[in-house]
Amino acid sequence: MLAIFVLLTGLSVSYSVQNRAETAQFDSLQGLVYGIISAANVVEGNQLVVNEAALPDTRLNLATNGLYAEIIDNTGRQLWASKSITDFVPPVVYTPIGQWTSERVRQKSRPTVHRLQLATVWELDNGEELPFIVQAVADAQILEGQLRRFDRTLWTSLLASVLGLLLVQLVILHISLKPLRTIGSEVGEIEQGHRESLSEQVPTEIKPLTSSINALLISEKNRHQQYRHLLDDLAHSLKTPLSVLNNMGGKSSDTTTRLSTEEANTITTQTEQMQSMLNRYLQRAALRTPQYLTSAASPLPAVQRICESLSKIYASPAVRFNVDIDESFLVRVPESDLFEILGNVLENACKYGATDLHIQSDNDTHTLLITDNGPGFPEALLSQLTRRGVRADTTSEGQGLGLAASFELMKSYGGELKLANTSDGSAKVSLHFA
Amino acid sequence: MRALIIEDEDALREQVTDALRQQEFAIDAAADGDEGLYLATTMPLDIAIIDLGLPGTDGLSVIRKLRKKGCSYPVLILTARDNWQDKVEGLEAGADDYLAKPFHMEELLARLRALLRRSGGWSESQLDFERLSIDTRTQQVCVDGRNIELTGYEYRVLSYLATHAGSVISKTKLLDHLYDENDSPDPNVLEVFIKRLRQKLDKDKTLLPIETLRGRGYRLALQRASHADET
Repeated sequence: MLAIFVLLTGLSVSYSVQNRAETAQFDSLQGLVYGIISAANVVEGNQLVVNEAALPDTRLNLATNGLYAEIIDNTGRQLWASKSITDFVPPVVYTPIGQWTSERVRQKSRPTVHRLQLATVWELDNGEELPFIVQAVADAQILEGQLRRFDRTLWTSLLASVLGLLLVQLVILHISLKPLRTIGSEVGEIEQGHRESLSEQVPTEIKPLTSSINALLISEKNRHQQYRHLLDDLAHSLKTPLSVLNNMGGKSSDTTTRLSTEEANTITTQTEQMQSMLNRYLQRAALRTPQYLTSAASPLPAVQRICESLSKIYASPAVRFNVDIDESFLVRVPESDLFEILGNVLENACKYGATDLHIQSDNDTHTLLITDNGPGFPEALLSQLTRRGVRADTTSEGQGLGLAASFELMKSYGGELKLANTSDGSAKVSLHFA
Repeated sequence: MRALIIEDEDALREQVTDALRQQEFAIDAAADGDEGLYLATTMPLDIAIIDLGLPGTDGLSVIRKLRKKGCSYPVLILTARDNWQDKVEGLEAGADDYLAKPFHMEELLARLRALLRRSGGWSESQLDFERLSIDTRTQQVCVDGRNIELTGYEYRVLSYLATHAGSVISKTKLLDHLYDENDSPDPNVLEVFIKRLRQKLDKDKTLLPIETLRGRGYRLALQRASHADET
């Protein structure tokens, strides 16, 4: 935009200067023509002579180059010519009496000249008329050189000012857009979960922007929580009636319910199916909290609380929990999901007979390692265990969702849950966090 | 054994009540948190089953308050909110175990028996004393390997004395733990049960399982079978 503006300005300045110069040239040549006419006189009846001492420009009397004049009669005969010379004199153009002809004449391999000619007539004493043409020719090179120099200066200075302006503009833009760039990088940090909201220390002009983005983040977080609570409520309201149905099916031997064994079995299988479907779809519907809504936190409090709870449930034989989690070990998983992942894994160990558990963090690989002294995972089921609905021990309680749920959750946060058996046959679970 | 169930869903509460009555439990039942808390802190309970989502005082608060008032019997949480954060909060509030809905009644009964055993210091479902053994799961009572047929109330008396073996249990306490408010216990009936139990368990009067401490109550006088004997 600026370049176009400057280009147009340059062109118009250059054009008008050239115009002005040409007008000045015309004026000076016109003055010269008038001067020559006034220095001319007719002697001996019809001889036209020019008093060279009275010529307006002394250059005409010098054998210098650049300015030349001549008088030609209407037959083409030269009546007078100045002493000065020029490299190229264009032939006269015969025009009606009283007409000025001004032009720039270019010819190949000849210098360009400005020519002004006037066709006029001298009224003789005897009443006859002597028509003649006065032609003044000025070398255009000097003027063109001047114009070129002017153009060069003009364009150089314009270019310099454009560059200067652009530079200033860049600096101004850089300074004025700095808060926006800061916001941009902060949004990036929020997306990656390194930051919870935009900083409020911004110029007042963009404060409304940051405030509304922050408000949006908060409302998004609340909405997410609301979804989770709604899902919880749904689970709550469906599971209690399911319990009732389930227990009705289970009471097939009870004569008071008046259900045949077949009916009772149908109720049992159907409610169990509903129950497992409910669990499956609830898990699937439980939206993963985006990382930008989660801040990094240590899993230590969750691990400690779960261990204390588990030692209450698995009191005999007592389970020993050895927790060694570095304070700098942080994970970016919402607390409720972290509880779910760790709770399932740790309870699984307790359920299958482990009495000595080690929970260690490894900062280098960003992994939580859980090892125990239990019987380990059956080799055949190691690969299947993480598949939903598959259980290592079908006689044990639970719907086989525990480890599979943890596996899914870890995956949804970009991490990984790996199961293995150690060399002594006990279980090893590694939770690699993204 | 006397159990409290606090559950707002009537059908489920009745099912649990029926199932526990069949297992010779005396039952107190409440449909909301406030009534539940009142029963929890005033009744001589052996165990409580508490739903978390309750009208009135919520389940977690009921557990916290009853613990604060010094009630030490085991508490089992019954919850549809089976996420770990809620489980941990429940256990931290003072519960001893949790069971997620929907559940099988057998599982609930097994959990309750396990909690009762643990509170009585037993690790197995089988209570073994010298020549007497009681299987709390099947409610089978054997003396010298011989199966003894007991009525429901007789079993209640014996199992309560057995889980508190060595302690003196007063008549009122025994009655409180055997009968709920639906029954109107006659203290004399207890003496009849004790007498019948002694006859059934100890025909030749060589075992002398139940001691009467005049004015104080009864005590199961048998020694718990030592671990060494079992192995």
